[in-house]
Amino acid sequence: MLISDLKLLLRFNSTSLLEEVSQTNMFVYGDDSNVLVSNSGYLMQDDQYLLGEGVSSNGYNLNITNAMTIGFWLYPVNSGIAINEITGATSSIEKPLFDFIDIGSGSNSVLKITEHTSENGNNYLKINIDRGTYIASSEEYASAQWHYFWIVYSASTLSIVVDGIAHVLQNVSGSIPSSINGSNLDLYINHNMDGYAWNIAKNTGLVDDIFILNIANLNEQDIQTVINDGVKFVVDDNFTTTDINKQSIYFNDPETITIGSLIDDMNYIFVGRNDGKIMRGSPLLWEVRRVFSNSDEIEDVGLDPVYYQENRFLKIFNTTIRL
Amino acid sequence: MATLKFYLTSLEPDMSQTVYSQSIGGYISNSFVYPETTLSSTIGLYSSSISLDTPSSGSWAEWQGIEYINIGNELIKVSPIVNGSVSVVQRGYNGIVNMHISNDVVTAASSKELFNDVFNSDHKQYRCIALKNISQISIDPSGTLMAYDLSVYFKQNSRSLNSTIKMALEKPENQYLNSLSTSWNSMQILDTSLIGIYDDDHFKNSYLKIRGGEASGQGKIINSFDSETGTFTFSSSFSSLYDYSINVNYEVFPSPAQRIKTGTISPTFSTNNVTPLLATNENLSLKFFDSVGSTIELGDLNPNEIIYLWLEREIEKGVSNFDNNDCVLNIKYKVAK
Repeated sequence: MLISDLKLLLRFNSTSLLEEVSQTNMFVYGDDSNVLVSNSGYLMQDDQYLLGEGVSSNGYNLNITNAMTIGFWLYPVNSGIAINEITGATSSIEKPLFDFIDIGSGSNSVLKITEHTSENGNNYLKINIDRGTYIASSEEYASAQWHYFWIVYSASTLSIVVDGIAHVLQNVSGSIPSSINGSNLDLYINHNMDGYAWNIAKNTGLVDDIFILNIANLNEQDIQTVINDGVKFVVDDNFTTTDINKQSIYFNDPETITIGSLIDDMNYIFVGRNDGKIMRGSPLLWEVRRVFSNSDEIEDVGLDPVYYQENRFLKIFNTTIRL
Repeated sequence: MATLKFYLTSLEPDMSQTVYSQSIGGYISNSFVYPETTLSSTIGLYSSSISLDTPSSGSWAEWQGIEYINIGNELIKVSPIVNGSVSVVQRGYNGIVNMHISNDVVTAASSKELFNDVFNSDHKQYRCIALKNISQISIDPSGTLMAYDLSVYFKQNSRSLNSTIKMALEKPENQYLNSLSTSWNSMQILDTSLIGIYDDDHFKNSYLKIRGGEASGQGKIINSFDSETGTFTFSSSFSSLYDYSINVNYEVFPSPAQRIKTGTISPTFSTNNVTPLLATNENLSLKFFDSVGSTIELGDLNPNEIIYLWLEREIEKGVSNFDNNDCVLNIKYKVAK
């Protein structure tokens, strides 16, 4: 059962574009009515946008006044930088993402989230609350890979968490409103209400698993759960179990074996290794081993070095030596 | 939330096992198979540096040579670890990339000394490790601490053509028990709540530990259990100095696994409590069979319960090169949130 704080849930599981709280489908507008939905979410297109109006076109009943949490996955596309044909000026390209419109006013944007390109191939989000009363941007994030956005509005703060890491708000302007009129809102996806320009274009990225709570939730464990396990594990009481996968690697033979202990009981020498193996050796053999640093030392034991050196080892045959 | 961890096994209960290759059955030791610590800060989906808390041992020595770490479901390849600042070589080495938050458990996913170069005449060696549900209600107040639908299998067997690793699972005869004595003395504990519930000697060789009073923390190996009276008899006596007129909370730990004399002797497989040896994979995990051959799933593991994991490593005769002889073990289970 969906939790009561949940006010909107779009998981794009089918082309019907079901919003699961109101149990209504979004409408498709634009030249292309073919909705591209896959396991990876909804693919935004440059000739299409979506509109959700809730039950009986009364807007989604979000019941938001001074707190809100919105989360979603986004696969951003960086379409470069726009150049003004007349002035030659360069500009970031603004691309619409979500626009929540007050149905009472007809066109007043209560919350507008847009994406913007950077010259270095990254993108950033801009959050516009109450038609410019307060505007702030995220830090830049890489394009062409999935990101998870968790945005929290409360009466005094705005927080943007990307991939689990809190971003420092950029280019902040205005004062954050102590409340917003978020009782019943329409939702536009990939549609700019103010039209398009040389530096405003459609979004062609992927978006998935959009949810809205009418509380301010910055619980790190909830963010972790949504990212790692899925949004349902936080917003649906029926999702009570999740899989744990733990992997361990057993390596091959030890690369280094060290001697931990050595005992000479006058009969044998016992050597304890760090891998648990105990070796037994003859003390006689150990004690008579000799290292010869030069020929003179070999001659000292009565051997002729010319005939008895072989590959730096001493080779003995048919002779006797002093021990 | 249920948490499972691997432990080495040892000859005696409630001991540390410092020699990995001596993990050849018996009791669960107090030593992890893998060193572990916790995250000191949150890491996002694409973070390439990781901050680790200093291990409880205070030293990073046992982390030397570690190439992989496990956080949550994610396996991460890292640069050599010399302190708490770790550089990522590859996130999601097992195909899973997750977000991790401060205090999440980090495990070094490499056990370099579990096996050694000592094999029997069949070119085999055996090791036994214990998998325990360590969840405790006092630490984790969240609802259910059981691990559901447990399966254990090799995600990747040895990459060396000259080596194969198989596994078998062993169920303890008894699992964890926590109760209150009806009466006790230096050699026995009587608990009438157990009368008729368990068979005679159901708890034989298990380790019983006192949880409160003067003898708190003291433990004995159970020599026998009498079902008719609910009496545990120990293999050796507690101190005569304790006040035996005051009843005590006690806990009985899961019974030990088979203990082999050396790592080259095969334990017994394919019994009611021990599965056959199998080179498992994701689609071929182990199951128990009862005396009439019926399949028994591994099922669930409650807090403090244990399952033993036997590993058989076999090499080709005359092989001198053991490169790429590692294997990846996977545990999969469900947890209630």
